[in-house]
Amino acid sequence: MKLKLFWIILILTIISLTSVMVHAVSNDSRRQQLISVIDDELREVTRLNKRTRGRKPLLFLRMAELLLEKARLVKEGENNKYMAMSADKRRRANKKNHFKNSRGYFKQAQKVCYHIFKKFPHIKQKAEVYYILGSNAAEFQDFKRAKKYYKMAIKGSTRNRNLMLRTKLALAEMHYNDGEFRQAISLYEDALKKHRDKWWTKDAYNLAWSYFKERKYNKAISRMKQVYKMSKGARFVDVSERARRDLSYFSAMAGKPQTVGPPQTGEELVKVAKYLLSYGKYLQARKTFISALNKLTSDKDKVEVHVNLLQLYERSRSYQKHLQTSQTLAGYYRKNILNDEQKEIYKLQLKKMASILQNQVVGKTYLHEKKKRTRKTRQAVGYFDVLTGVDHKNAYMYHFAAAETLYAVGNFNHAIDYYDRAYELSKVARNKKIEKEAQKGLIVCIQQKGVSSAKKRKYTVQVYNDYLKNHPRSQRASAIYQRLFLEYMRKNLVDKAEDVLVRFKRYFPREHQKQETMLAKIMDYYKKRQDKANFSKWVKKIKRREFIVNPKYAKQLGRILLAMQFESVQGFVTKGDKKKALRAYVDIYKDPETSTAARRNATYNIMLLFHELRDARRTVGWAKRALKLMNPKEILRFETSFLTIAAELFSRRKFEDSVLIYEKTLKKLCNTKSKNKKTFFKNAYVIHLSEKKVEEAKYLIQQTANCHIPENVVNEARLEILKSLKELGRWNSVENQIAKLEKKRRMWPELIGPIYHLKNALERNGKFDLARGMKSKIMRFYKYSRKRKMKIPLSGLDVVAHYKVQELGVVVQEFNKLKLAFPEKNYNSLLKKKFAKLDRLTAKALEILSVGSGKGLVRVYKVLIESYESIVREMREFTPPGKGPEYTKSFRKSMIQISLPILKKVGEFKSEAKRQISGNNILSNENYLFMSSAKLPIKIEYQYSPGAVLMDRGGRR
Amino acid sequence: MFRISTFFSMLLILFTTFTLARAGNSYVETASELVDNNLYFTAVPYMKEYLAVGGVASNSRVEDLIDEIITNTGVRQFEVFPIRILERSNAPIIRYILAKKYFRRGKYDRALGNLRKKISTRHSVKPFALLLEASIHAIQKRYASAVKVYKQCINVSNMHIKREGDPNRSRQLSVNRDNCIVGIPRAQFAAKKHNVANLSYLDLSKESYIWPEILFEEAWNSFYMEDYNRTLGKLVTYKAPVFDYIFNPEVDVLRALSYLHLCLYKDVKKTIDEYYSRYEKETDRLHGSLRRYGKNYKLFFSLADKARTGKLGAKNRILGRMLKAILRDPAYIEQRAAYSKGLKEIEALSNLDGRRKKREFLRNLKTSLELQRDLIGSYVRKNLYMFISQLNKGFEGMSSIGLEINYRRKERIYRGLGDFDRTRGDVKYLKRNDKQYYWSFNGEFWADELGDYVFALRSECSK
Repeated sequence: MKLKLFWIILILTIISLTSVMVHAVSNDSRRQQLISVIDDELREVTRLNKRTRGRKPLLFLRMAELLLEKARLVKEGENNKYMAMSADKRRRANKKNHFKNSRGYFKQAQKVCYHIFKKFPHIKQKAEVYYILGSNAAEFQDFKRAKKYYKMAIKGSTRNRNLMLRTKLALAEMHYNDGEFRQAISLYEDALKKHRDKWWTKDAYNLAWSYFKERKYNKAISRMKQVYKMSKGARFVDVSERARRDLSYFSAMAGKPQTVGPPQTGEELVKVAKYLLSYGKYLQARKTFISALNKLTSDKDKVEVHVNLLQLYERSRSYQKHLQTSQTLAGYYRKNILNDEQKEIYKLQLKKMASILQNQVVGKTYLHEKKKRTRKTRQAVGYFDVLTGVDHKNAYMYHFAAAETLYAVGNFNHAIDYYDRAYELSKVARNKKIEKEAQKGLIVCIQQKGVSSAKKRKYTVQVYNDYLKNHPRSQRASAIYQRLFLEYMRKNLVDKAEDVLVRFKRYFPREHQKQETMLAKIMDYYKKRQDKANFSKWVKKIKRREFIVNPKYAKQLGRILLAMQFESVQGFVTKGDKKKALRAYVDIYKDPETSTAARRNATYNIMLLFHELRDARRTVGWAKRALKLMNPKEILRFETSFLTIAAELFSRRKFEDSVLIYEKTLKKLCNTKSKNKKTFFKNAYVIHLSEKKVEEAKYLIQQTANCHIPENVVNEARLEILKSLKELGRWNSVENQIAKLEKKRRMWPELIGPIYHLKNALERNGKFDLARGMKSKIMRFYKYSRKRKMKIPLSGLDVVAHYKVQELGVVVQEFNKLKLAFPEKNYNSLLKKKFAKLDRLTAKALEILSVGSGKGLVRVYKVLIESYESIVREMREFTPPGKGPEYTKSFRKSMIQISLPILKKVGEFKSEAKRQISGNNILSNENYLFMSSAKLPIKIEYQYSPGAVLMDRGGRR
Repeated sequence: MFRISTFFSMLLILFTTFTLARAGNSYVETASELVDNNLYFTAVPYMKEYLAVGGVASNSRVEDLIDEIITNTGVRQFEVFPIRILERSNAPIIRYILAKKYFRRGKYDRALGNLRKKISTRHSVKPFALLLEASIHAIQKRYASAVKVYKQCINVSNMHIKREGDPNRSRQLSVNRDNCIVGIPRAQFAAKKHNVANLSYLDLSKESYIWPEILFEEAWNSFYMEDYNRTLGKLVTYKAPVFDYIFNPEVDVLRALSYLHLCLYKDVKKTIDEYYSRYEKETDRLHGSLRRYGKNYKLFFSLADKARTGKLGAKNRILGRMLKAILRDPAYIEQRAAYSKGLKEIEALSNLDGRRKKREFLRNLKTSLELQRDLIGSYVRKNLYMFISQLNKGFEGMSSIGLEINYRRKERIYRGLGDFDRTRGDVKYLKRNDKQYYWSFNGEFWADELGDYVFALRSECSK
């Protein structure tokens, strides 16, 4: 039997050795094949290089690459041979000699590289050359230099991605071997993104370890998992076993229980967790417990994990998770799955955590961290809730504790519910103390802000009534009465509110202020609803002194009652029932109890209503009353109404009534800042003057002298009076009025016209001595006004022009007097003189034009035209005495020629006069001379425009 | 002072212009007289003198004269003229010469500018101008425009051929037309429309003088269409004895490339090795000889002439083939023929009366003929160097293909697939396929089959 076994072992050994040898042989042949191809390539490159006369650096590079490749292959073979030697032989062998061939190729490659740098210093493929140099250095164990070359290769390699990859991997491996994991990581990361050849798993494995060494556990685990997964595929080198082993190690160290390969059971994980716990790796243990929990099926096991977790959470102060676990355990507790020890631990944990959290909430630590405090409150209440389920007997205590906690953070809305439950349960448990405290808490909470209206509705009345029933006179009761009262008022239960007020008055009779406040609420309520009956009922009670209130308030209530009366009248007005409104207002007016103010209002409103009804007589009557009763301030407020009424009366030709209102209103407004004072004043005096009541107008001016009416308005009135006096032919008064006005120089331009009229009147009446000097006064006033550029009325300008044209007449006369005569020499001299006169005349005329009078302008043009035409006529019609017909003919011809420009000028004057008349709307007696278009031998002086009517200022014809 | 100077200078200009014009007229008159007596080369210096003095107007008598001279002496005689002088003239013929000069210098926009100035369709230079214009479009990648102008060129050339009585001229126009015909597929090829180009190549008659060269282009087109068997078929045509004058090393490169694409590595290797053994040594030797010639155009002219007269000897086989190719080149033929005609003018001049005049004419003729000889020599030199350059490119190409094969072999070994099977791509295998035309070509070609051969080699790449 033993022999048989020996043979079997021997055969197996032989088979295995054979397979190893076959493998070695196949590798060898593959290597030989490769070397043969490389030789071919080298031959081809050399041949081409020769053809291009060594001018192409790329060929050298290719050569270097091939040499390096060949060197590696040769070294691989040498290595195999070396390893195949017996240890003894190996020890004795000359290593340098053994690797002579490969070293030769490496050196050749290196030489070629140096040659490239020497001959082609600007070669673009420097990176490739550096890579070869780096690889050579690595082969010669000169890692420092190798790293340097590789770095240079990476720096320069941008286009050749493959080379970059190879270089990075080579350099990464060097860093990895030298324990420079940080550098290795960045290189591996970069390289692994870009390559997926069979060695990917090996490189990724190194990267995972680099991560781990740099304490990047998550990355290390994730990468190692990837390595494990990829190793299973046929494309990659299989390192799965190592990966799985190292992954467990990583996971344990990183506290992540998951691993690859067959999944672990919950029980196994529990063991792991307990193991970690025993070594104080609480965090890892906790994570493992959680992982186990997902896999466990038995409730008992789950409870065990939960209890453990509870303790771990407590240790790490993970309140929320502790609470969640506690809530989960509550379910198991109800099913009675926990053993006694577990129950004990569970209850202890609950109480402990609830107490810690409650203390934190109530304490100052989190006073300014609102969010945290709220969270902790929620958690504490959560614990109390769980405790009520676990410890039924003391549920009212936990409810009360929860309510108190909520109260502490100001969450009254929730606290109410807990207080209520605590109150109800404490009654059952007959714990008077908690019952009292809970009721107290309820009362306090209800009054707080933030309590929902639904809850207020539910609890307030019930709680207050309960309390007042038991303690109607207590100190707290006073406030409760008021709150209850307000609650009823809020709900519009006025009857009940009145009842509370009565009760309050009964138990707290001296608290007048509070009673008055409550009373005011009731009065407001009735006032709002226009409940006059109930309102007056309470006013009467006050009057009867059943309730003592502030006298001012009492008075105000009286006013409100009155206003309520007016409000009804206003209703009639709004509805358009003017008759009822009038009646109501008259009633108020007549009511002896009516206050002056109310009466004033009523009077004014009655006036307005009659005005609206277009009853002028009554309007005026009530207006008089209103103006009498109303003070200037009120009249100022309603002045437009009076203005409207007066205007309306005027338009209905009730001049006397109209002027009466204007005057009376103006007098009332005298000392106010009314902007309408001017209007009232103007309208009043205009009506007076239109009614020829000059004295009344004068009296008005006198009366309103202190009313601050602008002076120009008053002067305007004075001038109007002057005008009226002139119209009435009261020349004495005119003279007096002028004498008064001329004292003010600014009135001078306005007085030119009136003085002229006065002068004429005086002259008509033969009072030449009085008229004397008036012309000079006129001219003085004119010059003064002109100098100061004051505005002179047109009538004044006409007067001045009139006088100036009179002066022009003298020049014209002189001109006309000069007659042409022969002999020829005289004629010429006379003509010359005549022209000189005409020139003077023209200059004078132009001067008159500058006055600006329309009428003067027309007259001046008339004079000019006449004078020019007369000279032309004279020249053309002149017959030289004693001269033959030929001389006469030539004389006339030349005269016609000379006179032509003068005639032309006449035409220009005419058209200019016409233009001025039309352009400036001049109304002059001489207009016909220019404006008549009829070709008649005579000029028609008067023209009539159809439809035109002349009226006086009162609108009379 | 200024006024007087201006006056005199103006007077001077007027005087000079008058004198020059008078001189120009005398040149034209002399040239015209010489042309009337078929003494074209003798007339060339007079025309050049005339051009140096003043411009040539469109459709003028002078333009007709230049046209006639160019027809008989070739355009190159005038191409040596400086641009600034040519720029002065407005005549279409001068503009064409100018455009050609710009074209050679790579100033395509300027060339196009000269061609675009209106040249009437009936003008003798129009067909050539159109070819030039189309070529510029093609170079500037405006293929649609190029095709359009090529078509116009074909029509105009045909129109002129019908009207032309002069056989010399007629041949020039035919070659021009055929160049335009192949210009179309060339543009299509450049625009990567290989299928269209394939059909367009068929528009060129096999009888065309330029057809043999175009076959190679067709082969490239087929290559781009990945129809490697057709490529090989086209290329094999060059083995026909009738095409022994064609020298194109790229043919071998394309052949090797086609085999490579069919993964027939053995054939590739064979082609590469043959190429090296055939050309390597002789190329080096030839290059050395040519370098010794330097820029002595007379020597190059004589070299070509020796080859023409069969006096070259068989020392350098490649040189012989190269010169054979040059001798068949229409441009060379045209220039050489003109030169021969020029030589005959010596005889005509020697019978002329008047010693002074005769001496002057002979001197002028000598100048023209020496220039013509140098132009021919330069043309030969340029072509020889071009061939050498092609050979060198071919070496590079072949080696690159060789390296590619080695790379592929290595890849296979690294992937554990082993080296290529020795039997793959073997000629024996090909012989078994009866659809192919892979026989010994000596004496086996039929004229009407030339260019239509298609190989039936199966690609080995999938194996």
